[in-house]
Amino acid sequence: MELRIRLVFAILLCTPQVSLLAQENNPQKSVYSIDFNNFKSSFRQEIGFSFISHFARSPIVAEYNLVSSGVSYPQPVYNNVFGVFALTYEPKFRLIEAGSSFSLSLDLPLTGGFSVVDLTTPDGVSYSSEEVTPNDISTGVFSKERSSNLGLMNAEFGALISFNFFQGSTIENINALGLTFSGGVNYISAPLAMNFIDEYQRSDYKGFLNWTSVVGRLGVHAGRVVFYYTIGINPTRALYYTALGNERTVYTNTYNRFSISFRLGR
Amino acid sequence: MNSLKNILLGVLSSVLLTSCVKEVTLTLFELPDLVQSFVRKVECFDQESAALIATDEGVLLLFADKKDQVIYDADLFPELNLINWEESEVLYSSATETFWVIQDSVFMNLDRSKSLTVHEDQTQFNISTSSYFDYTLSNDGELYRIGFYKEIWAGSSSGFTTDLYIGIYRFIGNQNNTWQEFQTEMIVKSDFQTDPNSIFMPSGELLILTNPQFVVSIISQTNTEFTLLGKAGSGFSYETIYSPYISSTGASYGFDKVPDINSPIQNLIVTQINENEVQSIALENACDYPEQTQGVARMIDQKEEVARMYLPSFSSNSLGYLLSYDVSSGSCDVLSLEPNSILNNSSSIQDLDVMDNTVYIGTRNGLFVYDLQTRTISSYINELLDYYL
Repeated sequence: MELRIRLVFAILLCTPQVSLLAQENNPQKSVYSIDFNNFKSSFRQEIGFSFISHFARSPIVAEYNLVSSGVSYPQPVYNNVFGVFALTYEPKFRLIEAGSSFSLSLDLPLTGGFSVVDLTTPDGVSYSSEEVTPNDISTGVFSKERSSNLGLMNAEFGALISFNFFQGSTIENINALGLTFSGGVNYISAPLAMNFIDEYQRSDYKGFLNWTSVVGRLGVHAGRVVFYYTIGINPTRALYYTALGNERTVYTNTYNRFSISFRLGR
Repeated sequence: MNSLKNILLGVLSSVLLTSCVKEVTLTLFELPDLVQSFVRKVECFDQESAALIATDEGVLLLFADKKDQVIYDADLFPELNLINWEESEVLYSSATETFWVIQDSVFMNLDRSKSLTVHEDQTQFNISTSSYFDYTLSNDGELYRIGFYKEIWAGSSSGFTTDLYIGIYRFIGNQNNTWQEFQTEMIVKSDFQTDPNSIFMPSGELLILTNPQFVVSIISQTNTEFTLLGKAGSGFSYETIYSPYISSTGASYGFDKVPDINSPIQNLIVTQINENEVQSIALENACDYPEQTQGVARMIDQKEEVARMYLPSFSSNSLGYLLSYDVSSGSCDVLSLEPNSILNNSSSIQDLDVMDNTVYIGTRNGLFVYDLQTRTISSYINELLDYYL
């Protein structure tokens, strides 16, 4: 993984030099790097939406201690975001353009969503960070549970490097369709609003409410409209045991979102 | 050409997606909730990094690593109920990683394999001396009983004293025969009739801490070889040394009586193996006991010249003290065990012992651990959960 990130950075660092070489060697310039004097031609912005198509799980943040017959079966606990509606504003900076059909851009999507957020086990037990006391243990209580969801709403901030082909790749491209492949990181904070009815405190869940996922994204451009599918590309496959000793697996640190975006301006 | 490029990118993306999956396994572990019941015995073997915790619900064996624990649930091993733990003796062999639990005529072996072997001894020992004996483990893990096999009137010049002949018995544990007997010519006068406490030295020789003492170099059916060590000095009148230990410099030390929570002892017996002088050290004077204490209730551990002992307190807000006495310099350190809200006095303490920097405290309400570095106390289960989760 680290190697891949280094490769991407290496490509990014080398591209301006490639661009300069191209300019020196070829008077018919076809590779351009971002031009701040003519910034509008290197900038694109989109606004996007998703509706019941946005789901995320954090990495394992705790373990729920399920005890049966003197054996403890730790269950993975992760922050689970079920997105109902999300709105994204996404500026895109074309760092490099090659001809009129390819560009490499830095995309910075900023997302706010209405979502239901809970810290759960795979079986849906709501994990509570409340301390387990010796008295609890003496009465057979080894982990605490909540009776309701932890809170609502989430915010995300991403930084993606995108390879854009055809439509949408450059300002002058006139193809009907285009493709975008992106990779980067997405910082998620959830929930934004804690469940005040049951008086859950943010301070009690410090460390459970923010995480960063590595994501990949596929975009299909059709005119001003872009259909995006974003997926977490660094998930964790957690193997755990049920109280009957059966082996189970669950994927955590996952991200799935299907969204539709519209280009703003040119 | 363009479509080929797109296909290649698609394949590359698929490879990237599938190759980045991390694997994590959440391993199940045994949670010995039996340690929340009445703890009867805590026996730690600090130098061997092993401990046995006996409770009303079963037995927990601990080894060096906290993950390395073996649980004997009394429901699954009803033979454990044969043992009256307060009157039992626990020995441990690091060579075989086996615990020996001995109480009256019952012998039990507990080990990592979670198999429990029980043997009941039917041997008829010499009736007049059968209540004087000691059990010890050889360096390779064989159990020996040191006792007396014969008592003979010492002659008219000795008045009413008799000669007690020491017998060495090796445990073989057959159904018909528990012991292999080695009769010896080692004699203790009946004036010093007592338990012949003994210990195997690192050299493999057996030291019998009677008065006089004996070093047995060869145990054999025909000719057991031994060296007699005469003793003198202020502590000469001692009969035997309980909880014996031998340092690498040859100092041997222990108690003059069997220590107990209800009958604390006051003196430490110290002697060099190759010297006659025996010292009886009054710990109360040497250590400047804190208030509301009466004496030492048990030997915690012995490391070279330093004996560490438990001094219970009758104060309502103390768990007692750890006494560290250096037999070579005569210096003594007293460390207070600080109470907290979950265990605020020593009244419920049944037994305690130390392994590494942890004091294992057995109470009527379960097992607690006291960290000697942070000087904090927590329940054993809590500590285990913190460790795992």
